[in-house]
Amino acid sequence: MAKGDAVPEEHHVTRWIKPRFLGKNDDGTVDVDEFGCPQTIFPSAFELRDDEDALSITWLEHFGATLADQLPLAAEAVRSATASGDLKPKSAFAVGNVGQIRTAAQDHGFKVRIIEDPEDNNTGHCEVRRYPRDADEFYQAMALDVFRRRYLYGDIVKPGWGPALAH
Amino acid sequence: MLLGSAVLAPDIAYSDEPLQAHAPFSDDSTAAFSIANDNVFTIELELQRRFAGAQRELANVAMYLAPDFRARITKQLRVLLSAENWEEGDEHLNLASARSFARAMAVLRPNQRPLLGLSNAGNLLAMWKEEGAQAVFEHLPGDIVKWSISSGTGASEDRASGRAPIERVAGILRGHSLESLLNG
Repeated sequence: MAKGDAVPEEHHVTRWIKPRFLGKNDDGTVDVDEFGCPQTIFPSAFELRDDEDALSITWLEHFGATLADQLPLAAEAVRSATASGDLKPKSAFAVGNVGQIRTAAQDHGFKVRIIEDPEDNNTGHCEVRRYPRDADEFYQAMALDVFRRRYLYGDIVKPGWGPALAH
Repeated sequence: MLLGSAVLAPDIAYSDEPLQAHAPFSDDSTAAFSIANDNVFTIELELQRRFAGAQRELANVAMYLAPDFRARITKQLRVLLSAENWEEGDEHLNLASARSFARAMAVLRPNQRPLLGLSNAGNLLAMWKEEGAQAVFEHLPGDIVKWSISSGTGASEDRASGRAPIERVAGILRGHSLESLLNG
């Protein structure tokens, strides 16, 4: 893995989704489908903060061959790269395909680059460069079409975790 | 302003007066968080204060909201503004946004409760959804809604986004045949 290299189109990435961007029921539980996966992500989860100039994601194939291997390791890498070293169980990881990110961006008039950007604590860290600001319909496409598979962090860290077959 | 005079009672009509006049704490989210970040107790205290501020904004429009709707919104706000759902670096709720949200609910009077979230900037997010359709609002200070809608698939797919004053939002939803999202 080399900083600045493009991530292959057929590969997958994950984005950590904070609890504030997940739909919740009145009792505080996350709104999940029959497989326990979050059903609703606010498109704002795919907006840049003012202090960011690229969208932060993590390359899954860097960590193994199957999602059951990749996602717990990627989540641990993201956790260890945070300043607090802690992620809330009600946060989630959304999974998307690199080629679909690029296509969704093109469909909305943007030409993004998805490149490797390894960090000390997260060697699978990548960035979506030339990522647009104020592009609400693109963010909506990212939430609805690209990052459709979502898993609660509290589930991913359980021993023996694996995605439901339907996912 | 049209919204204040035509829809809301005079006592909650739009005003440019600073939010601080209604709230016994600063609405400067950034400053608050730089203090709050120092320890968990301060973060929880600030979350409680923001929750109380949001409750106050809802109370200001209570006469326009069904009690059950208000109760469910309050429950969701309590969840949203809890330490359990708080991550380091999160921006606190912008109370000017909470005011816009409360006033939007008074104008739109939905009978379906939305899912609530918080934007990176601390603005309240509200989402209504049903099978194959959703509407998402970010409530910006000053009674402005940043909206995005999605419905249908294939040839009948309809996606759009924009910004509009509160009083125009119902018309936008009607234009996309999505008024049922809010009213069942």
